Amino acid sequence: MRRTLLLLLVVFWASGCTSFQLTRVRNDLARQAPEARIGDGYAISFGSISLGLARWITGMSDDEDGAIANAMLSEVRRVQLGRFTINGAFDAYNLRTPGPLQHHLERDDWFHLATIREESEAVWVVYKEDDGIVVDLLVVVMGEEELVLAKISGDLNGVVAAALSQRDIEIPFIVDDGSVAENLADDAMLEAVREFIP
Amino acid sequence: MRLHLRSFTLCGLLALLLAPGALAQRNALSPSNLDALFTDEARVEVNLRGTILRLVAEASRENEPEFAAMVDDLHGIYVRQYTLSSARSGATGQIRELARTFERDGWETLVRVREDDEDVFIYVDTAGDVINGLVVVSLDHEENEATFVTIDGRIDPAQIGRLGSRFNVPALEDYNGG
Repeated sequence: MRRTLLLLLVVFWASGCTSFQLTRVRNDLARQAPEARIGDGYAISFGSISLGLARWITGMSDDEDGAIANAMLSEVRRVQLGRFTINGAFDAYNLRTPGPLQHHLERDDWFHLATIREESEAVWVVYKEDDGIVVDLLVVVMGEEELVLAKISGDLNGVVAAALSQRDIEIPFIVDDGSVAENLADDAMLEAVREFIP
Repeated sequence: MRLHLRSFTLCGLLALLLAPGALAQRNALSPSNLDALFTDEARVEVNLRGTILRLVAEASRENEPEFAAMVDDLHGIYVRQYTLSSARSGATGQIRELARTFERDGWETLVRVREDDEDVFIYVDTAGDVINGLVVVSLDHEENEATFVTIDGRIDPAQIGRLGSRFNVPALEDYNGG
């Protein structure tokens, strides 16, 4: 699996383009919370060619993780990932919904799945569906040490169902140990980010 | 065409006038209505509906078929939590009054707790033995939280306790449908 991930990494780095949409989210949060001192990082986008190569690589893998990755990638059309360092404390309660997300919700027929604001962490999850299929999923996690952004496009029902089935579903009254939004962010998106990108 | 349009509009208005109180009350807990009571945005907002709710059911079907079947009958689950200290002037009274209107409109009171540091109201919209909706309003002064939960859809009374433990609504967990 390690070799598969390494190859995926090379493919992604070699073919990724800058994601201006995620950069706009980053800039909006940087304006809202200058004390967070959002620093270096990247926001890159992978399209059909790089994802096709990734599918080819995971298809060659003979382990279970590779097969799962291949099955999930088969329905994904585009992936945008971003990660930036955070160098200062900030009050997450004061953060407003980032402008590009608000724009989606107000004008582009997107839906708001979840927002979680805790003392030093904020999470936003929005999605777009088309005829019973989740076709876009955008997750923003601003934590104590890093800002992670992920946007996945394609037929994402399988990806979402897999994320939801990875652990017990907790819908907060409020819960202390996780929520659907956090599950989605932690289990699917962030794991993908952390595995594919160093 | 003009007549059709007028008839359609008239039918729509009549439908709105004759609509049961349940719909009106759920709208009373709409995001815009709740947002208007507080100066800050919601600390927590979760909206499970449509495709996502169906995927929640599918994800649970293999290991928890009863839970999945229950979720199949739901139209939506909505949670909003605000910092209570960000409530606008008079908002706390408006929230308590909002809770009382559920009683006046025929909702059944499942739980009503009024203590010095906490108010909890849980109402259900019933039709015979069937529950068509559930609303939780909680004002926790000690934790500085105002929480609103709406579960829209058919709920088996015997499953309310399960719903409480699964959705982490402590006040519902001990309810056994009796």
